[in-house]
Amino acid sequence: MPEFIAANFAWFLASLIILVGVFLYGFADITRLSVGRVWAIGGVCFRDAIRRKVLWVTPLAMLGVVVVSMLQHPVDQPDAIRQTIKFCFFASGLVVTIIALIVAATNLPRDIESRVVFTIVTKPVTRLEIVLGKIVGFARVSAAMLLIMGLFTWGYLHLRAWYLGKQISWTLASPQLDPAQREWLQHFEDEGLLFSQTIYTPVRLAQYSDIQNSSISKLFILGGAQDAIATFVIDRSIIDDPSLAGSTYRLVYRIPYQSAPKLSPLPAGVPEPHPSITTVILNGQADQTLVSPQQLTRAVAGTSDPSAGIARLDLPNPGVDIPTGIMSQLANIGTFTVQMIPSSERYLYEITSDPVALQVITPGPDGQPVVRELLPKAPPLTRGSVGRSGQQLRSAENGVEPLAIFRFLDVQKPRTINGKVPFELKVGVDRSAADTDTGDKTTLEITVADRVKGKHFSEQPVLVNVENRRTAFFTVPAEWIENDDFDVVIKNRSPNSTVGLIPSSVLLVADREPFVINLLKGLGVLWLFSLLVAIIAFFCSTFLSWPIAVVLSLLILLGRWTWMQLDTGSGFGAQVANEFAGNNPGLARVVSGSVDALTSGFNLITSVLPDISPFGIVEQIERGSTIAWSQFLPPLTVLGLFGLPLIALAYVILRNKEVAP
Amino acid sequence: MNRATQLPIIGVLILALLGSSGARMLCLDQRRNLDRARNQVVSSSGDISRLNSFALGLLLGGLRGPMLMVLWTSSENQKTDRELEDFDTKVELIRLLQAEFDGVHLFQIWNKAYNISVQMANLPTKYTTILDAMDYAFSVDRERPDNVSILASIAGLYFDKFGNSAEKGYFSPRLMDETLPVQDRVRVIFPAEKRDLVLRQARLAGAPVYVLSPREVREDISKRYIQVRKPIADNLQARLKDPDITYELREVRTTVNPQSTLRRTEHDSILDSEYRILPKYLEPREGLKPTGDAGDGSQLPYLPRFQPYPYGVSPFALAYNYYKRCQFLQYQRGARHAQLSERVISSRAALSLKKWSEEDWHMARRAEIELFGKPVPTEDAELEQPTQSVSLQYKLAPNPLLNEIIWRYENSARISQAAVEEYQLHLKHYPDDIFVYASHSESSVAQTHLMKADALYLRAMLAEGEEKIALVRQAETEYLSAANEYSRHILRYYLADEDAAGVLPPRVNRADVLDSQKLPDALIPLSMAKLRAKHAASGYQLSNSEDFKELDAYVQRANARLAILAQYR
Repeated sequence: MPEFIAANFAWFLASLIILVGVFLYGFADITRLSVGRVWAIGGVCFRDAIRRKVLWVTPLAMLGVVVVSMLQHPVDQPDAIRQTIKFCFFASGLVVTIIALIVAATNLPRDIESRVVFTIVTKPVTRLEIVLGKIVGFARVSAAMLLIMGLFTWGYLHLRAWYLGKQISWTLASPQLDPAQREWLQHFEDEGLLFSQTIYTPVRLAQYSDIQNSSISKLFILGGAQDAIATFVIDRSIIDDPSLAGSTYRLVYRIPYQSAPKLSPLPAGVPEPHPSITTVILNGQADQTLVSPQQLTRAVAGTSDPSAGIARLDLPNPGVDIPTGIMSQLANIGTFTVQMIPSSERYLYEITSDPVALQVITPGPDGQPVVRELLPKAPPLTRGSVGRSGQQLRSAENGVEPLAIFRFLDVQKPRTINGKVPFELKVGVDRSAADTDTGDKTTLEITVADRVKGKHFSEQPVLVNVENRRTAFFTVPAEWIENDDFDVVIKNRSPNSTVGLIPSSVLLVADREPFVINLLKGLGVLWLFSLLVAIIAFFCSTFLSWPIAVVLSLLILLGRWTWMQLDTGSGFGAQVANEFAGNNPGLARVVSGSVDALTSGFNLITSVLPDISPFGIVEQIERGSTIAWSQFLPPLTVLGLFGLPLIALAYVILRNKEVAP
Repeated sequence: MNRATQLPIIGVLILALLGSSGARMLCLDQRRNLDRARNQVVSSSGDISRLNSFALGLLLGGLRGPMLMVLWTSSENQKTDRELEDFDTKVELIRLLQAEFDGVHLFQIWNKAYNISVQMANLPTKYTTILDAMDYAFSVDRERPDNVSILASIAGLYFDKFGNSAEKGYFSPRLMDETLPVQDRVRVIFPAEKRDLVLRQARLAGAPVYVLSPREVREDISKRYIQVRKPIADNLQARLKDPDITYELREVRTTVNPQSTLRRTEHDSILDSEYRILPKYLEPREGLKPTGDAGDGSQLPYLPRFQPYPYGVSPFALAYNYYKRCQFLQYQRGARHAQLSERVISSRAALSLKKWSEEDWHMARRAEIELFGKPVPTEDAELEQPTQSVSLQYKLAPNPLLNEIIWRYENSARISQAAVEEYQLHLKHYPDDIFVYASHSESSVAQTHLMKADALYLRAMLAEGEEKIALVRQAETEYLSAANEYSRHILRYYLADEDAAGVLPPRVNRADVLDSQKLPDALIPLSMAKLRAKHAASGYQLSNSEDFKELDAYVQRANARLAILAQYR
């Protein structure tokens, strides 16, 4: 199958169904399609739903929201409002989904059962108009419910925000309040509890180490705490090219190193460690190990010169020889990443320029080896050791100061407040000991480096106290962010604590818009979801009785999501066999094979079911993050790829269905 | 179904609902009357406090089970992932939905106080997380009063988390401070360069150590501030008289907003302006007669015995109160803890008193070292030596810190004496425990003498003439008793059998050490000197050298002071 078709297969299939079902099979009905009649049928459907008192469910949902909000146990006022937003959206989503499902699944069977359909089909309306009219009617019911729930949400949230705002003022008036808590609450008193803001996320997070109080501009990484990864792109030619026959392949390191400036003496009898690099070869995305240090060691041990390359190399060294078999595998994959893990916190390793290269060493005609050198496709990315909360940033030790660098790119002029640009910071904190001697708080030092001007604003760093996984707020002078390409540089100022960072740990708050607009956008996404639900339920009801239609609709809606939650990656069969088949290898093979076959089957089935994850926007609203208009595209895509073909199929089925004598 | 058949069914349903409500009310009324006759348990407020549970259950209908499954799984996952937003709400909903299960409550109290608090990075947040665990426990206590398991959990939080954890240096003083009467605060603003001066004087004025972390003034970064109670600020102002230092009054309305469902930020104040327990904590539960003990359902019935509390209520004192309530319910009502044995519950009150007395001892020691301008060691075992040789002639100006030190020494003596009585009560019920708790009891007796002596020594430093001489004599007696009691304790419990013959006089063995007929006081110093030499010769590498050093430090302190006091004979 051509690559373009394979990549857009879903679109082609959806288009084909619509084309054949509606434009070819239903061509006559297309020519007679009247928007007025569709709207009129929709109106009948809407009035029928209202007559069935579906809107009476909304007060119950509101009552549920109020009761659960009263029973919540939030940490503080911002947490309370965030949870209330979640309850409101949960209730709105639940109510509208259930009603859309039931109304859409029961509408046609009821019409047939009560013979109402006789009066419709005997009128000059086409089956296409009936299908579209019903969908429009369901959409109007959902919209009405969301309007009511939206008004309630808006009103209730403002009421809560007003009350909680008063509580914030009350709490801030308490002189006993912990200063860190005061700073946190002061932010919400200034900015309000209901907000929606546009944020920029960094494009990259890197870590380096600095020598404390020095002006050396080299890039170092600290042994035992940081590493570097470099990605190579190769092709089969480096193996298959006849001119390279008999070549050996070697990763060479050009990594100068030096001792940390202020080393504490080692305990008696402990020898000074030697600087070394451990190599791991990962896939192109650097998330899966292809060749581990042990495999490299084993592979190299099998070569004629076992000492030629071992995975852990003392520096300086000739490099790691990669056996031809492994190199051939890597060439098949095309892209691989070399992870360089330096040893010992007593050394700094310089990675300023081309620290690693892949050499292809071919015997020359004169007996002299010919060396061809391949460099990584980009300078290496340096990182901190990864812990539970992300890359770990340590405090200064042995005169070495680790730095985390968040790179922001293409930042349009952000809004300023009193000449300052606001940021948000959320990190994980691990204190190594419950020590009170090092102070009662964890503090980070923040500066900004303007990459366009080449200037680092480090004279007056901003100090921020952070709590584990809780958003902290800080501002930097607007003149630090005059250009659209800059780094936010973070140092950990708290000894005995380690800070966990991920790329989205630092966010730049660029702009604000009224909460109500975000609320409307959120309700809009919910409405699209209810539309999808209604289409699926209506489609199922065209060929099933309504209870079965409801069950099938739920399966279609939740099938893919549920399967994704089970997380059945490769090796799932072996994993299950390991759990259940014990030491019986025959049984294990059967179980493993059966489970793998089932997994493949389910993978295939769920791949054609709709992906409902693009409809999940509640968390964004909770956190006060503006929903971009572009975020409507993925839900619309799901609706287009799945909803429209189902409408076409429903039309085809209904056209062939005898609903009246 | 037509309307004619619907109406009778609806009628029957309403009647059934009313009938079951009536039957329930009758049963509860009957139970309340029975309990009232026995002057125990059941609270009339119980029904109201359970209203949330009923409302939530009603709202969920038959979905209570599935809802709980979701709540448990997601809250435990959140804990593992360390994403704690909404966690408290989920735990609160679990509490309401499983209100009848002690095991659930015990787990969640422990979960919050240990698993969750340890995930917090900063001490103030850890502290408030433990307070939240405490709030959870009190919520359950309101619904299920006089439940030994819950009361023991409350006591355990005060004892283990606030009083005895690695962070006790911050938790305990803060808790004591917050239990003090509601008082206005004063923000003391000073130039950054006067930091050391202000902190030293604030300490002498009686400010607890935990408030002495100056913060930057938002509007003027060259200035710092600390916030202290008004009486301390007044004393500080009188001491400093510096125009560069300003004082801003911050009025306190109440400590905790009773309407708030948010996590609390501080412990309740439990003392009145006379530093006595507030009457509301001593009021019997509705419908019960006052008895002065846990029988009347009052919250803190065992604390008035030790009042006033001029420096706040120790977490160990609060632990003692709740363990005593457990002990009462166990002894008098036959109540049982869901997980701990009766023996354990019975012994905890005595242990709490012992720890309380030791806490006052160590706090006073640290303050004394500060008072004499010496560096304060971090380890408790190193607190004896720095001030042991301070001369009786040392010119001390009376100040609040000195008053606090003397009060804490005297209180420590009083509480360690009470601990001995409490151990005797426990041993009356569980005589087998003599092997475990005899040494506790004996060391408490020795501690009582040492603490009394230390307080008398400081009082003697301040006194003049006849009064000084009288105080010196009393201190001498107490130090001598302390030295002898601690020495006997060492020789009884920290002397290896194989060394006994070389250390003790002929025909005296370890079992005879406590008998003053067999081992007269006069012979003790010689035995101690031999034992000291033995440990020194081994380079303090004997199996019990660590314990010996710690206990011998008390003997050495007493001896050093005796040497000074001997000059006044």
